[in-house]
Amino acid sequence: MTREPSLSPKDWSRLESLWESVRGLPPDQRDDMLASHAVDGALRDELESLLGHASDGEAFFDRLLTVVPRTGPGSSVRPDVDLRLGSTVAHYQIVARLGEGGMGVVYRAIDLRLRRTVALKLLRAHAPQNLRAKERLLAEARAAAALDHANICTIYEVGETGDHSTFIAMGFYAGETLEQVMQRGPLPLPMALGYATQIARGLGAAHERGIIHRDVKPANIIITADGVVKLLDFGIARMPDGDLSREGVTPGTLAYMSPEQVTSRPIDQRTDLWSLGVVLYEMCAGVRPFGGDNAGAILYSILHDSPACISTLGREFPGHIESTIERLLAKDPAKRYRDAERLLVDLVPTSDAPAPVTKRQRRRWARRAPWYGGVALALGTLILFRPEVSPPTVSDRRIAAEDLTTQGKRDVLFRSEDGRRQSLEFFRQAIAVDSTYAPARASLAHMLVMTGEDAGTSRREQLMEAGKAARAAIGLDSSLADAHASLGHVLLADYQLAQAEEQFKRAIDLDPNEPYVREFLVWLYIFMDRPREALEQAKRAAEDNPQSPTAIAEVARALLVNGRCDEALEHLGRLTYLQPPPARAAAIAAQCYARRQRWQSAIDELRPVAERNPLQGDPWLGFMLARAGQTEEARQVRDRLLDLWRRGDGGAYGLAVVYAGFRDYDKAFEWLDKSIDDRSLRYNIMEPAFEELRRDPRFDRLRSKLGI
Amino acid sequence: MEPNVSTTVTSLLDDVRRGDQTALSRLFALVYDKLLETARIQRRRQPSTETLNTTALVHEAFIKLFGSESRGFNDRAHFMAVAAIAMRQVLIGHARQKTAAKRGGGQEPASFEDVERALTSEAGFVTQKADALLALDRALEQLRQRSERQGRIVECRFFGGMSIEETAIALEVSPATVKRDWSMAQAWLHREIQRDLG
Repeated sequence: MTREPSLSPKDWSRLESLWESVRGLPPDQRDDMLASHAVDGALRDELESLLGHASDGEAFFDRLLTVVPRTGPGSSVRPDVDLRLGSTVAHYQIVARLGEGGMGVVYRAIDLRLRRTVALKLLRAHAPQNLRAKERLLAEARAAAALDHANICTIYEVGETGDHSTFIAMGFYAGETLEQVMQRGPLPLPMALGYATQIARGLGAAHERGIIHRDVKPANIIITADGVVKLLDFGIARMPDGDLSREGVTPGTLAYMSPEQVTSRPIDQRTDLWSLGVVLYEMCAGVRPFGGDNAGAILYSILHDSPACISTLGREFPGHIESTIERLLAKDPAKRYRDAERLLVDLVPTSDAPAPVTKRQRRRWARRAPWYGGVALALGTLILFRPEVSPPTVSDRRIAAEDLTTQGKRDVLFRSEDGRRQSLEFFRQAIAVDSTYAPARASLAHMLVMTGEDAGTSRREQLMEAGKAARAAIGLDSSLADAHASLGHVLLADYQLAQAEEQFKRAIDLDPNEPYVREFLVWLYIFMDRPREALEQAKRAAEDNPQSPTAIAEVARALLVNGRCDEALEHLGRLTYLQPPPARAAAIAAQCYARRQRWQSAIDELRPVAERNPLQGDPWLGFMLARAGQTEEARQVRDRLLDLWRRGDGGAYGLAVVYAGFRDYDKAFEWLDKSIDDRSLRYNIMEPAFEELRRDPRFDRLRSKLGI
Repeated sequence: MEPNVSTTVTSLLDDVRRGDQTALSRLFALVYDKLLETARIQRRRQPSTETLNTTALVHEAFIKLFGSESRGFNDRAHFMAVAAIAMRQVLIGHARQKTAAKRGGGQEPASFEDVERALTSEAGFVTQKADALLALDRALEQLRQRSERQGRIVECRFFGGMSIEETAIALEVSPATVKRDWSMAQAWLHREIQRDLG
């Protein structure tokens, strides 16, 4: 960018305060103002140049802002949302918030015991005087839980949390609500009738057992990706002795309520049939039979209006449909169908089967938007106990697998040993649910390699499993950067360096933003004794993420292996505000100090790392202590590592490092040989600390064994 | 990142509240990688969409870091400032990818006029818009050399979608300063972007 000599910091702050006073002034007054403040020269030029861009600049940014995606202005974090996500309720871990209803909030959650996704409804806490109502509600919810019908959302569990709020765990299905479906306009008649039939069947099954839904409305009806209707919230949507004012009924809910319901008269199953009538009317006509701008108008309409005949609304309908709707919407319950069974006779006049909805029709209507959906993940269990439930579909499985994989990747973020194990579990579940979902396998491979890093015990087997998973992932989808990166990482950890490089390059070709790949490449090139390429990759990574502590540390590492210790330390200086320092930054800094024989500084860097994680910090701490002549403590470190190794924790490599510190190269090479076998030998064998060791003729043998 | 990151974040936020000037940047370094990763996961979950959902990004990271603790507005503002910087990186990375894919065919970078035209059209995230973002990113670096504060304010306002008040709280300056800096920065950046793209 070519530009005039820039202003001094002093001029810049003058410019800022002038900007404040001049910006709002008309041009002629500006000149007076500037003259009176004796503003001239470069400062005045700059100010005038900027003033010339003031309004264009604002307009430009307004337009540019549209490029930044954003769903709401300003504070996008809703204060009431962060209360529960990530936390657990009983044995359910809250994952996301799905919505809110009259009685509480619905979350997507993972059942930690059965490892399946559920929809978890948390009911609002009740005042003590409502305890009886709450008891009734619970009783009814438990009864609803016993309902077992293809068109009713499964209730897994009704329970209470420690603080006496009630939760209900329900099935989580892939699909849309009928409300979402109808937003695209009225439905083709066969589809409307098909859905109404399924709703009626679900209602019928519940009514037979004395359970009334009380809140049949499009938002409570899910259409799964396969066109199956699932009625939600049976018996729990509304308090049995529902007091409307208390529950804060919205017009959207009110519009589906029966006359007896809105006037708080006794209700029976026929109230649900009314609501179904409203839904059927709306599916056919595209508008609600009883509308209005406010609750009062809707209420009046429900009690007094006879809705317009659907055939007068632009489309022709067979007469029997009109009369069916008319009968469902009779103000007097006695004039409605007595039960769902009788309704079904009219809905399905000629045969038992509902008018089939063709695939093409459904494709037009069913957008593939996973909503409340997802399917029970513990498929085995589900099928075992509920043999009559139709098995989950391919797309249900895929959504579930995606969900689990995302969960697993989230746990990576904390990179704790526990987090990694949990991630592994998630990925394995995802594969169990959908064996053809490649990203789950790629992530499993990646995580297996990562997990082995500080616990080198069954490393070999772990790498074999990782390699298998990565190759399977590529077999399923060869365009997945993730999969190639994982395979590369597996190969790197297995010392198949040339093949690893090939995979990393492919990963970068496929997605230059694939995380970790350049980091791995830095390690690979260090291992291959190609320090300049290591630095190039580290710099590229830092360019992409200039503020990432990991990227900064890797640049330092690459500088270190290029013998540029001063610059490396300078880079690491940008991370000193991180307390405690990241382990990798400390290890790199320690080597820089070691180059200058500043042993104590090196030891000081490593001690906090070793305290937090001996497997990570001890080897280098031992090395530095030995070099510093603090033999006694160095021996203690060595013994500690030996102990760990005997117990199967930590690899042989750590001991090789300590023995190299002692300059006991016989022992060092002995352990290095072991470390190749247990796959704990690391790329930093090529780092400066091992310079002396690398001059030993035995190192050439090691090199050729590793194929470097 | 270390396992106890959550507690560290909490204590850093306490430091920020106590007025420790360096705490925000330490907080930033601590959660930055996480935010980026979250954004990447977001993007990968919907590979076909061309945009990212800031709300979701901030949300997830916020929740992950703070767990179930209920937090005040000040914390949110601080956190959003951090998220804004991550958002900048994600968007710029996205823009880079976009242009790299197109420039394979030897296409010239967009001129300022092209950019203006693209910004007024309704079309999606086209290369010209990506070019505009990249030019903004370059100019913003120049601006930060002159005023770190103005640079941060642009990040909060533009990339973080934060209000004047939120920005003021997060950066511990007065709302008036945010207002003034934001308007001056827009003029300055507009000029530099125009020069840069030609």
